[in-house]
Amino acid sequence: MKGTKSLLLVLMAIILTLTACSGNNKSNQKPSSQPSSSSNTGGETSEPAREKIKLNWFVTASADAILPKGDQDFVKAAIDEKFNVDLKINYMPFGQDYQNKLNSMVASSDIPDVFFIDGISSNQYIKDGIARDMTGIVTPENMPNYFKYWVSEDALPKYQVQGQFARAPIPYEKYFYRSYYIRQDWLDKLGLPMPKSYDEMVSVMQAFTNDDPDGNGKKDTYGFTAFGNGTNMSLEFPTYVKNGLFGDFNIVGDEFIDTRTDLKMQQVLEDTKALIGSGVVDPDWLLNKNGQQIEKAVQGKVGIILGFGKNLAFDKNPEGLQMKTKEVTGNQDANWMPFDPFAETGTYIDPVPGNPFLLSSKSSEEAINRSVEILDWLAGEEGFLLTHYGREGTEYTRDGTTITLNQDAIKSNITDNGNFLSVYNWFTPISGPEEFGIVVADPNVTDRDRAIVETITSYKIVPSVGTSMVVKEGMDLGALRARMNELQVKIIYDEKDASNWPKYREELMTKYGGKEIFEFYAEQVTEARGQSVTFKGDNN
Amino acid sequence: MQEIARGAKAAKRPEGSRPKWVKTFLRYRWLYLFMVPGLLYYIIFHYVPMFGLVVAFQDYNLMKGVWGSPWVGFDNFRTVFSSPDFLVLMKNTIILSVYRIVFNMFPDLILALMLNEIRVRWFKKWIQTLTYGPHFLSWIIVYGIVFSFFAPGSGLITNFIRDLGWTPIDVLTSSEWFRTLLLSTDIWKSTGYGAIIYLAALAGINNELYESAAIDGAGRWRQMWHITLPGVRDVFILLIILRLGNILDAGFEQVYIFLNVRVYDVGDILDTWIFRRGIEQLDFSVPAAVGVFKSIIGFVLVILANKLAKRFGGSGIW
Repeated sequence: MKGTKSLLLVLMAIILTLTACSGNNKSNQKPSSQPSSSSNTGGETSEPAREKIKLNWFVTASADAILPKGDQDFVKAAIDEKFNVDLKINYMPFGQDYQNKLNSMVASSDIPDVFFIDGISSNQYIKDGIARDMTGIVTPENMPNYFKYWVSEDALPKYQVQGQFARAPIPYEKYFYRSYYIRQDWLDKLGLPMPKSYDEMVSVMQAFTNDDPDGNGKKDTYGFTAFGNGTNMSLEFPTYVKNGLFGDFNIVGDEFIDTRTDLKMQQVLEDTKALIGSGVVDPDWLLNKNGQQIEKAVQGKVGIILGFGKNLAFDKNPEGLQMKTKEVTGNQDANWMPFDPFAETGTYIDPVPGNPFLLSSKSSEEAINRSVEILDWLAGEEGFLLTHYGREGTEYTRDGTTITLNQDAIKSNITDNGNFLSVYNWFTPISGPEEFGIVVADPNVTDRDRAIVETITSYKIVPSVGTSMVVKEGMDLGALRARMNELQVKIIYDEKDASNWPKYREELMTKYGGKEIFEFYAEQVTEARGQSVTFKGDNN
Repeated sequence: MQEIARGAKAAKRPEGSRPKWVKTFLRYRWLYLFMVPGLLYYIIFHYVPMFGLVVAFQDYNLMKGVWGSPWVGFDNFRTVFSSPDFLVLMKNTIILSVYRIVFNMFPDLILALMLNEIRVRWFKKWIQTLTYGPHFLSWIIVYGIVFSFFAPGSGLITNFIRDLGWTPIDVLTSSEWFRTLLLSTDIWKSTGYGAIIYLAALAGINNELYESAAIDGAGRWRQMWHITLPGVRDVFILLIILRLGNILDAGFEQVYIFLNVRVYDVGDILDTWIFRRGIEQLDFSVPAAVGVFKSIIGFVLVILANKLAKRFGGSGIW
């Protein structure tokens, strides 16, 4: 009896706190709506008093991002006030789960007004009529900033699929900042030079695995790790580029190459098999989800990983590899430096206008117009600075065209507050405001950081196909990739060598329609480039 | 209640003879009224949604909806049955399901029997609470635990085995181990909870039976064989019948979370396929066809099992 009573008490307490929290929520919203109406009449926006509407967006964010409640989310406050809306953003890191969530929302007729999706998948939404026709909506008149700074008007037609204007690219970085990172302190300890070729990279991996680079007397480190999501052979392995396969697709001469189904994959698989067989790759790689490879690196379990992003290993980036490794391992000498064994011959491809944003065909005209206004604001100077650096006078100070960051305020108001700006800068995933003629003076950027950027930008980059492509009607690319992944993993783990690859490739090209899919890709590239490009689906 | 019913009956009598069912209905109208919320629940949440099954016979398009999508007859079923994956999926589903019935029902019963033999009450309570605790963990958490034990590179047990100098086993990604892994985690998670229903049945057995058996000289084992087991037989059969209805389910949530590319050949089941096709590729008609097929099989099996149960002397569910 006593037990039941105390249980009831605990339950009551929980219920009370919950109601208290939600009550808080409501009371927080009130004050923010009050000033908005007053400022509206004060004439900050051109139209006098627009009706306050609810907007619902679904976008990507970094895995650690959480929107804070109430006033602490100063971006929501600014947007709600400026555009007289109640902007509700759902966010998730991009991946299969993101798509599943979006699809469930779509399936239950709860289509977000604005949503982000990757280029290939966007086709489906356009085909099903979920995406709205953007004619007359995404125009230089409606989105002056977007067209002024990021996307040229004549790039848009090339980006369209299925003969309708239903998607537009989000602003994209002109550089990928893709690089391998290596533990310089481990190299120093073992007296090894920075690897400059594939073979040197492999022997460093061997040393990192066998020679106890962290000096704890145990053989518990690996040379390299990657993430396979439990499903695929990761493109992070250096064996692709070693065999001349760059990115997802590229053009060699007049031939269209789909990297992962190319004949050269036989050698790639052979090399990867050898690499894994020699025990230098973290055995968890296949089951790792995106992010877990970084975790392993941060825990001091691996010495080489592939990273994206300009400031990944910056000295004072609290989200970065460098700072986190020092924090987690307690080793203040930990030092991640960028390198690429193929720096001279080509490491990766140019970015193409990548991922689009889509608008819902079900939303009201007003919701779409208001959303587009907000998107354009995000693409403009005011929105860009607010969603990347915070508020002027608080998180940064501005002097003409130079802004100086206040790292303490950034840490306490943004980073420690759920790193929430990452939710809002999905639309402008750009690393700096140079496009607006603004320079960031960040007292925390060290000479070492500048050297890192210099190293990465010196890598040779291979031109990409230069356009985004559509899957042919009625073809199932998903099934092809799934089968391809299955076969490749099978070769890596269950077969004695990769000699079955040509046979498997034929299956993919015929039974799974690879030939048709990629020939259609080649046609699109031909059209975009004005130069004939073909795809060879046969093995000889 | 009775008073009111009778009163009503008396008042209506002069109006002449009504069909018998109307009379019964009127007499018990208040009881029927009590039934309405329950019936409404089933109609609104279980029968109306069944109407959605029509998408299995359509080329369903989200924007056009159920009313606007074109009808395609049995095309979706043809697609399913002619797909090269279908047989493998069926095989995996049935094997896993049968394993689950066999290997999950007996541990539940055995645990209940063992708990029933414990006479120290506080100890029994403790064990019971401890064993049903895992039931409240979600599969994501269970997978997290399993992963940290068995991850091929960083798992605790994997590392322990490797440090001992034995050949490391790769439980998570091996086709031979995958079903064992699914079943053993399932047993770990659900046995304690599954035992509760048997404990309830055991509590319902008349104590006098045990007493008289003891007087007749029956030992513990004899008592169990002649009194305890017959006492839980009906519950056991009931649970088997219910489980047969779900034979093509095979536990979607767990399998989906544990699945990876190296165990597709043994681990991919109908439901994971449906999920991939439906949610990941936004194709609803073909998965719906599989769903219809599954339900029909389940329905037939439940009827059959019930018949069999009755024939062999037990009582079915209806």
